[in-house]
This record gives sequence, structure tokens and C-alpha cells, in this order.
Amino acid sequence: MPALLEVRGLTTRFRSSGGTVTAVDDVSFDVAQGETLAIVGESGSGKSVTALSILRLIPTPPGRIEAGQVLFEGQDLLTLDDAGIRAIRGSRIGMIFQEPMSSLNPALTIGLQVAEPIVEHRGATWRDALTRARGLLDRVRIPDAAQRLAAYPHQFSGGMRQRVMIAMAQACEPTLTIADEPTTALDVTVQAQILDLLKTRSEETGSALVLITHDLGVVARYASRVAVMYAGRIVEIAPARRLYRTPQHPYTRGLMQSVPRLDSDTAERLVPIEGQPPDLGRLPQGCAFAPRCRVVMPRCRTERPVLAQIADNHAAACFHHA
Amino acid sequence: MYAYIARRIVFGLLTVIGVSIVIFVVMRVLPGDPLLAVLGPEGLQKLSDADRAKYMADLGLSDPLIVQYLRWMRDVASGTFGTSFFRSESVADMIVRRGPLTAEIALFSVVLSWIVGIPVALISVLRPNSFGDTIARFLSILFLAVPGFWVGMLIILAMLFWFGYRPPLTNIPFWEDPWSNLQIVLPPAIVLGLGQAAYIARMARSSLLEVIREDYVRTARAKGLSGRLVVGLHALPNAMLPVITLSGILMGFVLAGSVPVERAFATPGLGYAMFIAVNERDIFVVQNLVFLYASVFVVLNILIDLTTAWLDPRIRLQ
Amino acid sequence: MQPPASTMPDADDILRVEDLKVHFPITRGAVFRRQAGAVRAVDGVTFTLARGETLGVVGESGCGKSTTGLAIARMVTPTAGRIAFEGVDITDFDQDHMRPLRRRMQMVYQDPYGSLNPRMKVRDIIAEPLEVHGIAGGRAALKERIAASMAMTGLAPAMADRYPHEFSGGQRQRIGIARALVLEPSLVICDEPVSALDVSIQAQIVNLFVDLRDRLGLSYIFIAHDLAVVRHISHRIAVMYLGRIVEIARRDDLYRDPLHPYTKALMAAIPIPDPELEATRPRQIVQGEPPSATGPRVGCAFHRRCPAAMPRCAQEDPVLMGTPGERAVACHLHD
Repeated sequence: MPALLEVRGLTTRFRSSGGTVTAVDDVSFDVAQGETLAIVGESGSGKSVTALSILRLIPTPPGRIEAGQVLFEGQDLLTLDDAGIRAIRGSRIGMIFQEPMSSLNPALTIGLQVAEPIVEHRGATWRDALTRARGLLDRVRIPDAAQRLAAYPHQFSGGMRQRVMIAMAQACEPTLTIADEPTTALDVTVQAQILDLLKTRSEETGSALVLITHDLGVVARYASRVAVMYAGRIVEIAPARRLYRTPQHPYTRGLMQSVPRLDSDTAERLVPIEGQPPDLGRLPQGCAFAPRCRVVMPRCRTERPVLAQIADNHAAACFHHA
Repeated sequence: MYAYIARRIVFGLLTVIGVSIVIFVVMRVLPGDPLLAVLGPEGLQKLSDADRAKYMADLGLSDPLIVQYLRWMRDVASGTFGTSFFRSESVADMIVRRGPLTAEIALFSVVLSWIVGIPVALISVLRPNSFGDTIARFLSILFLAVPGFWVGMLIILAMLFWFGYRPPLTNIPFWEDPWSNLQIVLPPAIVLGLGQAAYIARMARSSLLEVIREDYVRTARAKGLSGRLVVGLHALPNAMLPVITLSGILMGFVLAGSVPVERAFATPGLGYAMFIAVNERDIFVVQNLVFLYASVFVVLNILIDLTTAWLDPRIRLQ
Repeated sequence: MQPPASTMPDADDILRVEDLKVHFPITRGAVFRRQAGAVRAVDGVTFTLARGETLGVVGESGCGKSTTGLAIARMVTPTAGRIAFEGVDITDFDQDHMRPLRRRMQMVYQDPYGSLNPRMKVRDIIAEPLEVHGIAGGRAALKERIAASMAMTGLAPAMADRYPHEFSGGQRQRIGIARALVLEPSLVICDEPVSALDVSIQAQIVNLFVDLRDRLGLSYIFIAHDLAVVRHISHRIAVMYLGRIVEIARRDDLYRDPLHPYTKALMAAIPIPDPELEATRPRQIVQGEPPSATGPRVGCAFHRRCPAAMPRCAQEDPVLMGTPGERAVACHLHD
């Protein structure tokens, strides 16, 4: 089966007075129809920039997609003209952002904002689009959807706004939904509601889901496959169960050990990854993780490992597996 | 929202009362004998103390200040605004006769500042660092730096030399002869408008640049909307709020500017009248006109505050 | 029935908080503002903290956990209740009276960057509290204390001449901790100190807090929204909901056997980083969001969202009951 989305060698750089930073560095991955891929990483790992680059939403300047292909249903999104990419955004690919508080326009009604993509992409009249919007708000379980159409974002809680974002992103039943840290700003009980809703809605509409997150628990609960990013690169990619059972990259292993867990029997000491997060402006010559790696070899400091297949569907960028 | 309106109006009223007191006190403290203007230096020298007292009493200037102030306020409340030293007409008549011209100039200049300022800002934002942006930024700095009356003089001279422009020197209401009226009104309106347009353009530019970085503008782009819709529907309305507020503050610029600019164009409006009254030390006229200007400024700014509040659903629906 | 957890006097207690309330007034009116209501941020919190003990305080946003911390540090004024620190009732202390006590009671904040003055060098940031309290000593002594404080928190003393922006988030939090510890306090109130940090760094800082406590005999109030994080540092944990403690228990008891339905809901909502476990884990997601802290409190604050709610829960507000210092819960299921 051909992949729905194939990202090949994606490279995005940001230029500033301080120099050029490679936020996404030669990133490749696939997303199959209907699957949930999680891209997990810490701040500065390039996971959000990857998501934004797919839809070409990088603020330019200072950002620029400098290399690679984003093949969506066989079509390279990076070479489309303005009208071409607009026909994809919000229609074939829906996007949900991190900050529910600031991602909705404070001056426009909820109804208008949800109906907008339907008018834009489906050529519906505003009247029809608003009727559809009401149904969409119902389906993301917003009570009194009919009345809420005329409400403004500030009258909604953070959780409710994120429901609106889901309704809006999936208004045109996209085949791919990209959710960029959709629950980071929410409380845990609300986070669980929103992620369950996102998952069910994606299943109902048959949409594949790319879930960008820093939370390994969220990944474990919702993703079927996982890509781990560090310093702009994918360091490991595997099916979720396999990755959690047998993590191969030292960074993935470190991440798994450092996360506090509710379920272990004793409250043992956490095992952090020592050292500081990478400074993208001053990456070492070899592997970006080498300065923090427990099993570093001399080769790691001079040469950069590439992502290589180590088993079926399982790839890691580490010389220990080369 | 109603509480907000009520609060704004009460504080506006208090401001106007405060302003009236300040004007009144300043007019009484400023040097310059009113009788000097009425009688001339020689007349003043010949004036006996008794005559002087009589004149002062006639003008109401020998009463205690509080009585004078209250009498003025009574005149203001009754709508007559007192009378000029020299002219038979009351200040109210003068305002009715000359006011529309100045109001027209102010209105045209504000409209012009938006018509020029907003597109300039849009060019700057949509094509940053382009040739158009550079020109726009250069011109706005030029107009910020150059005084309006000087530009006015240049315009008059240019029109005089090249087009033989001679504006009518008498006051012609718009409804009687629109063409002649516009000939009077437009040149000063352009001078005042371009000065404001520079501020409007700069404010709109920075406000737009801020708003297009907002998350909800990115959301709008992620929905596949065209650039025109993203800017026109999602960015521009939110970016306009500070510009509207600035426009209200610039009313002060227009009102203050009406004095030198109307003088430069010899426009028979209130600004010119104020210029004359100051020269003649006609304190009743000056006092009333300054008060009128200040009140207009306060009222307009209340209206603008209420408009921006109403445009923001977070305040409107409170 | 057991008495409420608070009435046991204990000489070893470093902190006693009794029925603490913090209400923020809501004003209305066109010209003359009058009080129209109150946000009851903290609405009757009672607990004690033993010397050397760490109490984790968890709850979702708006539950009053941070305000509780601020009230104890007297950064906000309590509306009612009593706070006793090292045997001294500080409830009505003004800033002048608090100053000498602040040496003994320090705060560490969530946003390490926002709480560090960007124009000050690390050296001066750490030295500032010493100067404020007039215990700077000589230049050499000062320098030594700064170096010691930095070394203790894992910062190389050579970094003393840098500015906050030159550090990563984790290092900034180390600076914040060094600043708090330079005065040798006995109680440190940590307000979400690791929430802004990445997991790998978060673990470093949690371990640092544990090490410092064990070395210096510190007592902590460790405020966090993440039940999994507080588990690694707390002796006891208080779960807050809408301004009150709904359950307080020894750590292992709480995680082994949570009693309050809200505690259970909170735990069920936290995903465990193990896909196989998650696939089989019974998942009961509590619906809705916390009610407003301004409305009248009728019945249990949680009853509308509670899967185990009984008719009684809608009418009667449960009080916190149980064994002092060990376990108490505010729920009609456990009366």
C-alpha cells in the first residue's frame, strides 16, 4: 500500500543575526492511511517545525525549507504553487495547534471560524456551512452547539477551545490530521478527554493522525508508530510497542528511564539524561547526542550516524547498530 | 458593557470640568491686559482709574474669580458662550458660522489619513523590505518630521504658481456651493491629513506585523484561506484597534494644527478665528474656543474608546 | 469518627496551616466599585508539615495549589485561617515582620527565566538575598558562599559571571534553587519547579531537590500538577480540588490505594509510558471541567463529574476526615 504521506530528506533552516540554525535536518518518514504516528522529542528537537514544514506554515523569513520532498498522496507539497497548497491546507490535511487560547481569532464567532474551511474548500453557502458547523460542534461534544455558534472564543474554556480546533481541522474530513502538542496547555483530565476525542474523530473520518508531543505516556496510549527526534533529526523510528519494549538508540532509552511513572512499585530514583539539551547553533561535529551519551565511542564524536534499518520497521541512527 | 459606558461618560464629564477650570485659571494668569487690546497703548495710558474700573466691571472682570467662572459656565450651559470684546456676535454664533468649515477639514483629514495610511501599511507588511516598503517608510518619516503649516505654505505656493489657485476668502457652506467649499477645505485637510497619515501608517504597520505573527493568523493560513482573506478578515480587523485609538489621539494634532494651517491658507474657520483672538487678546473668545476644542477632543475620544470596546467581543459581551 | 487531621499539636512541625482561606474580591459597578463576589482560590486548607518532610501538593489549574504556596510565604494575604511557621503565628505579619522569616522560608518558581533578572549576572542574582538580609559578610566570604551555593546545585562556579540568557532551562532552575538556598532556609516552597522543563532535565532537577533535602535537612512544599512527578520526591501528598484538599495521604498509600474519586480520576487520566499496559488498562475518563471558584458551593465540589456520586453528594459538602498525619479524605464514600 502506498503511504499517504512520504517525507523525504526534509531540511528547514532558520536564519538570524546569530547565524543559521538547522531546525529540521534531513528528516524522512512515512505515514500510512489511517494510522497514528507520534513524533516525540524535547524542546528544540524540531518536531513542531517538522509539522509546520509539511504544510509550509514556517514563518518566512526567518525560516526556509531548504531541501526535501513532502509527498502527500503522491504529490510534492513543496513544489505546489500558492493556490495548490491552499487547496490542501484545511481540506486534505487538517492542523491542530498547541495553544487553544491564542489559536482562535478573538474577534470572530466560533461558528464562522468552524464554517470557514467548508465555505472555502467546499464552495458551500454560509448558511449550509453554519449548519454543518453545528453538527461538527455536536460531534466534538460541545453542549448547546446551536447557541455556541454565535459565541466568541473567550467564552470557552481551554478544553472547549481545543474541541473547536478539532471540529475546525476536521471540518472537510481530511485524510491527514496533524496535531502539534494539542494538549500541552491543558490539565490532565481534560487532556485525556481531548486526545480520546481526537482519536475517535480521526477514526470516524478515516483520517491518519500525526501527533506531535513530548509526553511518552501520551505516545504509549495513542500512537501505533513513533519517531523520536533529537536536535533536528529522527534518531529512532519504530512501531510503538516495539520501541517501548526494545528501545535501541541511547537517547530513546534515556528518555524512557527519565520519565516519572505512576505504576512502578517503589518510588525509586529517577534516572536523568545527564548534561544539557543541545544548542542547535553549536552542534558537535559528530552525533548530536554524543556529549550526553553513556555509551559514546570515539567514532561518535567525529562522524554523524544516519538512520539505518536494524529490524523490520525499526530504524535507529546510532553506530552501535550500524 | 453598560457599566463601562457609564463609567467612561462620567469620567469624561469630570475631565471636561477639570479642563474648564484649567483654561479659566490660565487665561486669568497669563500676562496681557485685555484693555490694552481694546483701547490700544495710547488709550490705555489716558485711561483714568475710575474709567478702568468701569470698563473692567462692564466686562465682568472685576468680580471674584469664582463668580466669573460660574458666570462663564452658565453661558456655556445656556449655549451662548459669552460675547467677544470687539464683535457684536456671540461666541456661539461664531462657532455656528465658522465651526462647520473646521469640522469639515478635520473630518476630511482623518478620512484622508486612513485612505493613505492603511494601504501604505499594507504594502509595507505584505512586501517587507521591498522597494514600496522602503519608499513608504521614507515618506512617513518625512511627513512626521516636517511641520504641517510649512507643507501648507509649499502647497499654496505651488498651486499659486502652477494653477493660479485662489481660494475663496469668504466662508461658503458645502450645501450652497460644494465646489467652492471644497476649494477652501481640501488644501488644509490634505496638509493635516498627510501629517496624520504618516502616524497612521507607522502604527498600522507595526500593529499588523504584530498581529500576523499571532497564532490565530497561522490557524487561518492552515485552513487554506487566501492571503487576502487571512489579512482582510483575520489580521486587519484585530490590527485596527490600536490604529483607531491613535486616530482619536491624533484629533489633538488636527485641532492644534488647525490654527497654523488655517492661518497659512487664510481659511475662514475656527482655527483662524482662534489665531485672531489670541492676537487681539480677546480672552472670552480664546477661552471659549480652547474649551470647545478640549471638549470636542474629550468627547471624540470617549466615542472612540466605546467603539474599540464594542469591536472587541471580550469587552462588548462583558 | 476521627478528629480532623489538624488538631494534633506536634513540636516537630515546621509548618501548620489551619483552615486557610484566600479569597480574591470581584468588583462591579459603573463609577463606584463595590464587591460583587469573590474568587475563593483557597477555601479552607488544613495540614501540617514535619521538619525534613516533603508534602507534594497536586491538582489541576485553578485548584488553589499555587495560591496556597503564596499565602504560606505571605506573598498574598490570607482571608482567614492561621499559618504557623516554626512555632510562630505569621498569619497577620506585615512585610517588615516577615523579612527575618524569609531567610528561613524561600520560594522556587516555575518559570526559571521569568524569575531571574536578565540584566544581572548569576553571581549578583545569588548574592542579592544575602545583601537584602544584610548577611553578606566580607567580599571573600560572599564569594565563597556564592560558589558553595552554585556548586551545591551543580553549577560550575566559573559560570558566575554569565547572564541568565546564556543558560538552558534546567540550568536556570538550578540558579533559582541556588538563590533560594544561599540563605540556608529550613522550608522551601517549590511552585511547579519542574513543569517547564523537558523530561530528561526534569529528572535531573527532581533528583537535585531530593539530594539537597537529604543533605541539608530541608522541608519542602512541592507544588505540581503531575502526580507522577511528586511521587519521586514527596513523603506525603495532598490532592486539591477547587480550593480544598480532597485527599491527603502517605505517598505509597495514595498510589497503591487512592480513595477519593477525584484522585482516582487524576491517576486514570495520566497515561503510563507503556503501550502494552495502556492497551489493557481500564480507562475511565472523567468528563467535564472543574466548576468556577466564584459560584456558591453546594454539596461536594466534584459531584457533577464524579462517577460514584450519590444523591447526598449534591447537598452535603464532605469534610476532610481521617487519621492525622497519615490519611484523610473528603468524600461521603469514606465517612
